Amino acid sequence: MYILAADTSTEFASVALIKDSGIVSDLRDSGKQAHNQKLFDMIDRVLKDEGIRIRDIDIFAIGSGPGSFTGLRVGVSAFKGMAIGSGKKIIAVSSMDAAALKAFSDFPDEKRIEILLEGRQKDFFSAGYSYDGKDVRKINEIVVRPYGDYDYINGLAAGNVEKQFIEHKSYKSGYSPDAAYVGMLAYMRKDSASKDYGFEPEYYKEFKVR
Amino acid sequence: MIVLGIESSCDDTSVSVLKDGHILSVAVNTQLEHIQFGGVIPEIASRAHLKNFPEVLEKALSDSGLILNDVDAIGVTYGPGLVGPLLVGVNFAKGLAYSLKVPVVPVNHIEGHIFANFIDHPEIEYPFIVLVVSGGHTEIVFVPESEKYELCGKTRDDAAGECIDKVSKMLGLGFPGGRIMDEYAKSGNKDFEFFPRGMKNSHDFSFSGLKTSLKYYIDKHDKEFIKSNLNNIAASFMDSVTDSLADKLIRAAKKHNCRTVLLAGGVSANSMLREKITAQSVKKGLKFFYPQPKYCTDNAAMIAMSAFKKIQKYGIEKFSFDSELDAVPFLPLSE
Repeated sequence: MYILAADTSTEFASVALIKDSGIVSDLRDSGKQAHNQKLFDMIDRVLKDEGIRIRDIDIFAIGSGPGSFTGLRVGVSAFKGMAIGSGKKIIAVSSMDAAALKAFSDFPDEKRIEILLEGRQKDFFSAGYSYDGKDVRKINEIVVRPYGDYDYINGLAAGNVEKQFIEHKSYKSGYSPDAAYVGMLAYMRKDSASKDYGFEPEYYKEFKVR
Repeated sequence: MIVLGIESSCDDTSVSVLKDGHILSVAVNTQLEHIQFGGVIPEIASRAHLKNFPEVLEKALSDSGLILNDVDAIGVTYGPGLVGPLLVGVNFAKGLAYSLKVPVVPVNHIEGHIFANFIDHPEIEYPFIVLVVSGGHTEIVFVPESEKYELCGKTRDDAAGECIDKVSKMLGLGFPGGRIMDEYAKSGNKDFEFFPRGMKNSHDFSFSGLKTSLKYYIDKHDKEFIKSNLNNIAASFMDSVTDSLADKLIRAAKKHNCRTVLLAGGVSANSMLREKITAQSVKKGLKFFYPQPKYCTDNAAMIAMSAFKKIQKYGIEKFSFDSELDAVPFLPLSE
């Protein structure tokens, strides 16, 4: 079984191909932005490397945020199009869950890890996670916090907010949502993939009309 | 030849299926989320397109009796328009095309409005003069041959549709103003009041002066008077707007010695505008064409038709899957 996964919620787009439970190919775009112009070339590469066609994909998995509104629009609309075009199932995987899985894979003994994702308005998205060896679980709902508001953190914290903005001793940066982990979670949750294509990304910030 | 059209440049999510130059179906979801704000909010529009495209596509397909695998090419609006909404349509189209292994034909939204005329009137011949008039555009374009566009005149400030929307709001009649003002004007007396015609001796348009004069007019009169004369004020106001539009279109036709005039864009559904151009066309012996109302407002049928015309002209092998196709918010009609 093949899963094609991507995450476009940050400024670095990533694409991964999962075969059964293993990652067979994993690409990360080094340049900033313009996912719109790189996403399909990256998809092309992971398929060609494995010698398969788009029609061989069984499940399409897309990181659904929270993160950049524009990035999410590009990734989610492209994945909806591909899944519908090939008549296959799609699954939206929280980008935060993907970052959490990445953190737990490096720190498997932690009971709880606080995940902090960049919010791009001098703020960040935050939620506590646990891991039971099968799946990551959100302990509390995602909260949007301003830079500097990190006194609530007990124990380990990880995320993609740059270290200079989070002056907490237990915070590990470099834990971005990543297609490989979106794909792994999609495999773990493959029973909830469906042909319901009307879903929306997790924006987590209501758009306010000024 | 089956062409799928995809349009999302503003607040209408639309998909259409075309077969050999004939529209089999067109599905449109007009976003009602914006009414409470009195205008289109780009972020809200983008989110609604992303949510609704699959459902709109399914409707267009089921109405056409065809399935996705029948599709030979996908036409998509890539500009001009709002960048967020355009990005959703472009990437949805790219995703579909990538899976279906069919080419993508990028279509200019304004060119789409012009080609909407060919849906019901394949007999239209070049050259022609077209008035593109909507909430975002007011342009007169000379089209000597297929895909050649020479700008004859444009608005220096507000688009005609924008002006109509704003005056509708000032009169307390709501958004979108086009249809509402048309309805009120139908039962009103256009000679009730005279409002100025902007830039009378130019090829260009101006509607901001007209808008200001309406504002003064409303401020000057008491509320009861305005309220009891809404239809008359709407008629007099629309008389000014449509006089400018019709006169300059006919004048441009004369200047270019053109025997055919066309209307395109949302405001071309306006009944007073159509009546005036019809009357002048009859007098001057011009052929006058306009799309039926559902092809005047934003729709994907016109995008499918444009893509079909381009495939006819250049051959399908000239189009491929362009992974880098991007949204171009300020895409000009001609390079």
